[in-house]
Amino acid sequence: MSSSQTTLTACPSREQWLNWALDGGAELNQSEQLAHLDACTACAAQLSDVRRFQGLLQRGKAPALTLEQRQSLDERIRLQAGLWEGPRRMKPWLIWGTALAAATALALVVVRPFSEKQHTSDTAVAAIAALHWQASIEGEVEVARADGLWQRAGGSLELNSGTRVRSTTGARLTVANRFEVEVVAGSEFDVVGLGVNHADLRVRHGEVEWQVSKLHPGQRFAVMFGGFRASVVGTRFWVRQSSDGSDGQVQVSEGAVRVDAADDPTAPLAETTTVVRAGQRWRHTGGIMSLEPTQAVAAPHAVTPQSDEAGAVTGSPAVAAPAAMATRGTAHGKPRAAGSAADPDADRHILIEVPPQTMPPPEQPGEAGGR
Amino acid sequence: MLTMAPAETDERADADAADLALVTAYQRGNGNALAELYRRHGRRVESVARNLTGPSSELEDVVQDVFIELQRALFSFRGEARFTTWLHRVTVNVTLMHLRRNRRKGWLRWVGLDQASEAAKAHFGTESRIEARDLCKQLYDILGKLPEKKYLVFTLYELEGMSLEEIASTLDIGINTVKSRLFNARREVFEMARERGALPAHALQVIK
Repeated sequence: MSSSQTTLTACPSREQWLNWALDGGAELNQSEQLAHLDACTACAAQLSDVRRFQGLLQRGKAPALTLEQRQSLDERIRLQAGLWEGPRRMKPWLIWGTALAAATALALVVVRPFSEKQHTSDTAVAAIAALHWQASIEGEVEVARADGLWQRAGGSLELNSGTRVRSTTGARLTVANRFEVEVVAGSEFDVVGLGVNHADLRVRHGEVEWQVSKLHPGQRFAVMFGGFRASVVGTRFWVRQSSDGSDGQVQVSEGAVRVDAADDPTAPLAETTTVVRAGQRWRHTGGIMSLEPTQAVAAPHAVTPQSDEAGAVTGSPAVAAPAAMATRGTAHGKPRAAGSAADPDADRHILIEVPPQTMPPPEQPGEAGGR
Repeated sequence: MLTMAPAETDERADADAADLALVTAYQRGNGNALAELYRRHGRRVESVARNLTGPSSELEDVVQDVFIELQRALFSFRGEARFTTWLHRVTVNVTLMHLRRNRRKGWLRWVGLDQASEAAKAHFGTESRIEARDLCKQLYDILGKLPEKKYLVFTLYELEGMSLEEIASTLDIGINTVKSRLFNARREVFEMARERGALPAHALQVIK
């Protein structure tokens, strides 16, 4: 190599080999590149400088989160994940309606005095405040912490979306003017979502009794369990869910509760819904749904779908796929009625046989191969 | 061009299938699927966001914003691209929005380490790392002067360690565009580094 090659401008192929060296480009033959590096000390020195700078870049990278920050972030995401909301698709009328409302609001802002605007602000604050409900506790309950450990709650508990509660000895939680919860010993539930006009909860296992204040139109109180949803029509009821998800029950002591196959509180009603009235117990076990009286005197059944002539209860496939549908979205078969309107026993006992699931058990996906 | 070994391809296909299953589960109402996606990809999202934002005290917020955006956008994911590519795209977009917002507010694009997070203090806290702390500050001062497009390519390649192909997919641009932006970004970064004495004068000539 001549001495002139020690200056960079004297190396005509420097751009090619540098790109190759830095980015792994395949434009040139590898052995040719290596040979050039061996021969051209200037290029080798320059590459060394660039590599050194790349080392500096790596050393100058911004620091990662601390353990505490990461735990905090994990908790925030966990809570956020509990706030599942369906897809938001604006309908055409809604777009025009929104535009009209926006125009009207703009006009009002212009003409209304400040005091009026203050009222709107107060409403918004009240709505935000309502998302954190304070429950008084009788008995002992534990609340899941961010790190997954359980912590005993004192005399009161703030219920937020994502709050997970269990009781080993049994307890009663009261949210003033909203609802009361009787948690039977060994039971666990969590708050799926809370809003000004809705409370969505989930019984994970055990037995939890709910007594709900009268709901106004547009308000919702729903309890999910094993792929089903019990929505309050107005009233007092309990929901029981076995740990393995094979047995779910709803028993109503006052008022009525509507049960349908849905694992999403905002989902539209399934085609097959069952209204469970006071004195009735709805049960789903071993693929069989049943509605039966809890008292000696039979209560009238209230299955909303119409029976066809053959006596089969018509329903959507969704009914056949309670939990699995919610997690995997494949439904199999339609429910089949074991009882019918023509059956003399139908007033007391309705059986809906659900074809067995063919879905695989819940998977535990492995770690992704991210870097 | 690097090619993947069969086992690596299988692993990647399995991971992609698992991601798609989780997305589908989420679309059908299983909120836990989002938590699982976070468990699988949260660290990578954090890494991309961290390298793009630099020593920011708002890294936690940015990562959470990514998952909030993800929560909204998951309903439109149809599996036409790899989930990870799509997630990286969301991450880059959210982080860029964050950087632009800060710029509009008249804040410094990258805060000084005095104002930076506890993580920065912990990371650079020891005396032996003072140099690294200064280096970090200088680096992001320099990177902050790059135009956005070059900045993205340079940061994703040099700091995040993405391949040219990954960057092309993430930014939805051609690979030659990636190479061109990277080449130009390097030249500008090296020039600024040289001016600050971080590189010897002759080193710059190689990419001129």
